[in-house]
Amino acid sequence: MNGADFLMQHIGYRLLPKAMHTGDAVTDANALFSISLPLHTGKTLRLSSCWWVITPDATYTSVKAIPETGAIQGQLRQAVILSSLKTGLPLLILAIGKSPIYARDLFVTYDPRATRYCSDRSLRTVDSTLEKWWTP
Amino acid sequence: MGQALQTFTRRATLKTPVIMRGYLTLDALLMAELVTGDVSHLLKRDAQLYYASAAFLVDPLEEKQKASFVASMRPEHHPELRELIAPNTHTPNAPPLLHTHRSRGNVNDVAIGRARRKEAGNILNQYVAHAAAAVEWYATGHAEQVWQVVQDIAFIGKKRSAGYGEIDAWQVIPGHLDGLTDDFGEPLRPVPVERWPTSATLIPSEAAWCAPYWDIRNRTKCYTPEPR
Repeated sequence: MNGADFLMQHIGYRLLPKAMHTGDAVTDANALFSISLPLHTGKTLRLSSCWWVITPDATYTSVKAIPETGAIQGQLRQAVILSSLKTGLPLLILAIGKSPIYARDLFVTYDPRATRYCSDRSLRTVDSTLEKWWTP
Repeated sequence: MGQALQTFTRRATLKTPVIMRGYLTLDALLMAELVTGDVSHLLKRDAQLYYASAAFLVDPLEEKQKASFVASMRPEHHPELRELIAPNTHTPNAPPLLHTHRSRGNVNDVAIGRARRKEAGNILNQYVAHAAAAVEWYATGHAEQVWQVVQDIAFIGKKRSAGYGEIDAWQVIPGHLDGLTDDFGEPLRPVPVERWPTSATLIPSEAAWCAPYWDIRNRTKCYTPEPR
């Protein structure tokens, strides 16, 4: 499973309007990053200046996503990353800035020793087990 | 070919630092040179997986060089691009004006404004260049035929037109590595975890394991030499 598959399977298809589903995760992920999503407030906003931590069990974000997506808000990013890495499940860490992000930028983290921070045209791979915050 | 497959090491002695993005596997290098997606007549292949390693630096310097390039994408300098780039205007049906003056408004204006800066401004591309004595690949295949293909390759890696990755000479060295695993049981190229022969304590990461390597759809959970 690649990053686009992972994203679309666990949160993307709940965010992308059904009329835009093509069945191809790469196409759909690129579409997701190029449209405006509805917020709690009723307004719409393109995905930018936010972070996402996506796991098979839960999705955490700083975006005011619509409630039906099930994405959890209001958590601290570092705490979410740490707890998600400790579960041993694959996860996707996205840091979205002002520039658009594309499916090519998505890399799943399978092991905390190769934690992958994905952002626009930039992929940072670090060994989280060597970080100070790894051990409480 | 009529010849038995053999394990061999391909070495490219470098004249200049090389910029490598991705794994730069030998099969990808051959495909690029031959402009084809199939080099199974040159290298051993098992269900799309080539026995051809990623590129490894020989005696690299610890210091890495940063190489930055600015791509100045100015559509106003290229009138032919005006038809490809949507005009930054509220009157899309207006005829194109080749010499639009700033004071005449923005009718079909493709000059760089805030809205267009990302897609048609100066784009800074940053790379890391490695200085090393040579680059090596390990593979199983027809060494002589592979040499005939690569012997004319003068540059490898990215930013070749800027002088990076210039090859001094190609060599064939008899080797014993098959292109998949090294002497310590570590992967020499991205190999999908379900196809890895041993259940080792390796670190999996997402990588493209078959050509075309740029295609996101060919990425999966792999064991890799190191995440690149």
